[in-house]
Amino acid sequence: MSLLQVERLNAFYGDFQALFDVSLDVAPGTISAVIGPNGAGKTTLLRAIAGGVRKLDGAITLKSEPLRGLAPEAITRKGIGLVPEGRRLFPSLTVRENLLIGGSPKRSGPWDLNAVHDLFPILKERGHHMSTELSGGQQQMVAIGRALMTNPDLILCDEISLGLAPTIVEDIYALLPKITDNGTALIIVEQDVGRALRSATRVSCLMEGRVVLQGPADAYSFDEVAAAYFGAPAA
Amino acid sequence: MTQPAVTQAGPHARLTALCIAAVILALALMPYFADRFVLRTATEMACFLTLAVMWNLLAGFAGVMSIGQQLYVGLGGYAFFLIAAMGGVPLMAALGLSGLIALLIAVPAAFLLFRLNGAYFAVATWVLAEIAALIAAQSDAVGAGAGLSLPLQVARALGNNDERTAIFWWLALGLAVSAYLVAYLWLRSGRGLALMAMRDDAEAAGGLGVSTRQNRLMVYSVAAFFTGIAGAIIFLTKLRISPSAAFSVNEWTAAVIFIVVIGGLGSLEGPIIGLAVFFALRTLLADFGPWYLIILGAIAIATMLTAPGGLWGVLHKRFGWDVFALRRHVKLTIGEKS
Amino acid sequence: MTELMNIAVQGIAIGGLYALFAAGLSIVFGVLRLVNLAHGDMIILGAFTGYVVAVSAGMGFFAALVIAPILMGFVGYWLQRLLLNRVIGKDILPPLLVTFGLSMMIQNALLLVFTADSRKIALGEIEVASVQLAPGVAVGSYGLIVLAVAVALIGALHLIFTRTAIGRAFRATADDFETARHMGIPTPHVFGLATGLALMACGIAGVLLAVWTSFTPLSGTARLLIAFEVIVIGGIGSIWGTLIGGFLLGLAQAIGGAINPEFQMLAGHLAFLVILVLMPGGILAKGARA
Ligand SMILES: Nc1ncnc2c1ncn2[C@@H]1O[C@H](COP(=O)(O)OP(=O)(O)O)[C@@H](O)[C@H]1O
Ligand SMILES: [Mg+2]
Repeated sequence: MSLLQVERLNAFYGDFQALFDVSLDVAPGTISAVIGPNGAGKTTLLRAIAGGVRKLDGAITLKSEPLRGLAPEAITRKGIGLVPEGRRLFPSLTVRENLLIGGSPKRSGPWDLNAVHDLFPILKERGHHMSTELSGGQQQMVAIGRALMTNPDLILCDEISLGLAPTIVEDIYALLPKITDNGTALIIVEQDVGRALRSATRVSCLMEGRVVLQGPADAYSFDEVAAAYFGAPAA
Repeated sequence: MTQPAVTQAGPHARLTALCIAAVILALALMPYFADRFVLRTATEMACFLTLAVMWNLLAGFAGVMSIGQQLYVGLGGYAFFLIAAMGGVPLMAALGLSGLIALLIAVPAAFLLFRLNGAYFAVATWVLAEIAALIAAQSDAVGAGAGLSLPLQVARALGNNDERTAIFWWLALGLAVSAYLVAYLWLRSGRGLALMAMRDDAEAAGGLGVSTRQNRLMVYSVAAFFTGIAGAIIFLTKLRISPSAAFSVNEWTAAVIFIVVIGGLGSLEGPIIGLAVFFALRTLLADFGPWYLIILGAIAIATMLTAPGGLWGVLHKRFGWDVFALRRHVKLTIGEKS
Repeated sequence: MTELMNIAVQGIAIGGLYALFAAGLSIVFGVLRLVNLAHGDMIILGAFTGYVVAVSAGMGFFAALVIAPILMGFVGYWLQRLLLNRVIGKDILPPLLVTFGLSMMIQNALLLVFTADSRKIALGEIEVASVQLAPGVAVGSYGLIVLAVAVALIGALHLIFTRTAIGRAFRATADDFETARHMGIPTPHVFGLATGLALMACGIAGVLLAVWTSFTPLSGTARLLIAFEVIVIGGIGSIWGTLIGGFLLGLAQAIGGAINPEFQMLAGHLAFLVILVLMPGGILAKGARA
């Protein structure tokens, strides 16, 4: 019983094709990792699911409901949250306001301002600061909290460790199970192959827009994935 | 960068050039067979065509949206009347000087205007034109609100009514052809490539080492020069000038925008088609008062929504027509670059 | 001295009206990054709507001050949703051209319905009454009313933008349109609300203008330019800036007008240019700088 199904997805930017026949299956309450080198199409895949890529071909369904062709705001209302690459907080909003923006679709569920504050207590303390005044790790928490506020069934996390100190990344990853405990599934895009394998139950490796490796995370060794990552067979 | 442009002129380049030359020749001979009314209309059309080509160069190619080109129409017109009043300056020199004066004002104006981005630039150009209109309306040296009439001896020196009409036509035709030539040569040069890169993405063009600012300044100045001369010819044919007529946004900018948008923003062929549509509508709707401009506005909006490339864009897409062979060349060159 | 005081008071009073002209333009630019070239004509549309309510329907000025903004707000919402939403985007040309076409259409539609005759809403005694501020320094009571409305409206807009959910959505959308959509903000609706709010402000400004001076269908252009100058002087994207910009422009015009009545408009334009030259970084916000 899968939550999200992506079937033979092709994505285009004008004449340029960024994804080729990508398929993906996500079960509720699980973490799936998407890895691959820069320019592989990871961000494109997440944005395509979230409704941010206009030229698409293939099928995307959430709980058997088709998503392709819906506007991004409609897809969010259907239950997909996005933690965009580079965080993309709203600079003229305070931390609290950034979180509240996530609450605008008014979906019911466990997440509200208090629940997010419980998960990231520092955000309560710094609620009235502008988001730009926060450290990178705190900004990432706002981005995650903002997505949680939409009470999604699935959150798409694009490179949440980008530019953060390793210990902070560990802290954030340690909190992910608290999110999936509620049945919310996660897709995480991650550059660090080791961390991806450790955190996720399933892994997909993208290369130049194509899936080159896909399966349960514990079925692959680091070396196998790394070989795929650097273009197998490894030289 | 410029070499491929020459080789990519298209298979029928020579034939096209011959046809264009034949058309221009036929137009130049018009005074020998057309009547005065036709000539007057043609003269007006040629002036509008010049304005349209220049506005298109700004908005369609350089991505500079001005709604204040009436400033240069008015400046050119006033400059010409003042020079003519001094007497003794040959007609052609006076026209050239009028354009130069417009250009001289355009350079400092550009430095001021280019502090503002996009839409703010657009409205600021309009403010400058309003300022000029207010100053003209309050300066006794240029007849204040009543304006100026062309000195009788200047008009007389151009011959009788028929001779004058012919001269005006040749001037306007010559100007329109030169405007086209300059625009064409520019767009086919390395600078033209830069211009179009600028339109498509100012940042990327900056990255290519193209100085957007310098290019914009240059286009803006050239446009002011030609627009100024067009203004001089327009008011020469009218024999009088006043602030409200000289700096009219509706006459010199709204109409011109309409011509370019309907014909095809960002194509050299577009303004000619737009011109034909504009004059046809103006004649058809002449008796309908405000309806005329309501319909014009509605058509412009509908075009923006359904065919942003204008009529020429539709024809180009449908039949692959391409008189000036600009597109192919540019696409190819950009393709080679990346 | 009293003469100077009078000039200042006059400038500030009309500055309130100018701030009202600018408020709508500022909202639309602030949220949609769109400069509405039909803004002046929308103020005049508000004035005619007010005129129809107050004079033609005989319901009076205060009814007009309520009804005209509501009607205008409705028009604004649907104009945005049905037309303008289709042209906003990265390229600034389409929205400018479309609003320019709209400006032509509104002007001429008004000409068609109301002819070129100039009109005015008469308010009776309030119009000529004045309040003595100091010996020899007086201000028209109507000017005070306009000023009060301007301050109240701009204060209200400030509260809407900073304290309400819709204001939050406005700011988020202005910051990052795409991300806002991914957070579930229905941007077409939000844009509609922003333009609706802006045209409500145009409605208020139009009705107040209709009492202040006579107007014709062609009076919009001058108001667009004033509104534009006000927001550039006051700092683009700043709501309170419109009030400051309005005062400065009003003062410049009052001073120019005191020197020679013909200089009034010119002085305003020149003040705008001077600020553009001398304080491109100071009074101007970053948003519009090249
Ligand atoms: N907006 C865009 N327009 C055109 N090409 C894009 C755009 N975004 C990404 N691409 C291209 O699509 C490919 C995949 O990019 P992306 O999905 O960002 O990769 P990743 O996130 O894996 O680094 C790259 O070749 C990139 O250059
Ligand atoms: Mg990426």
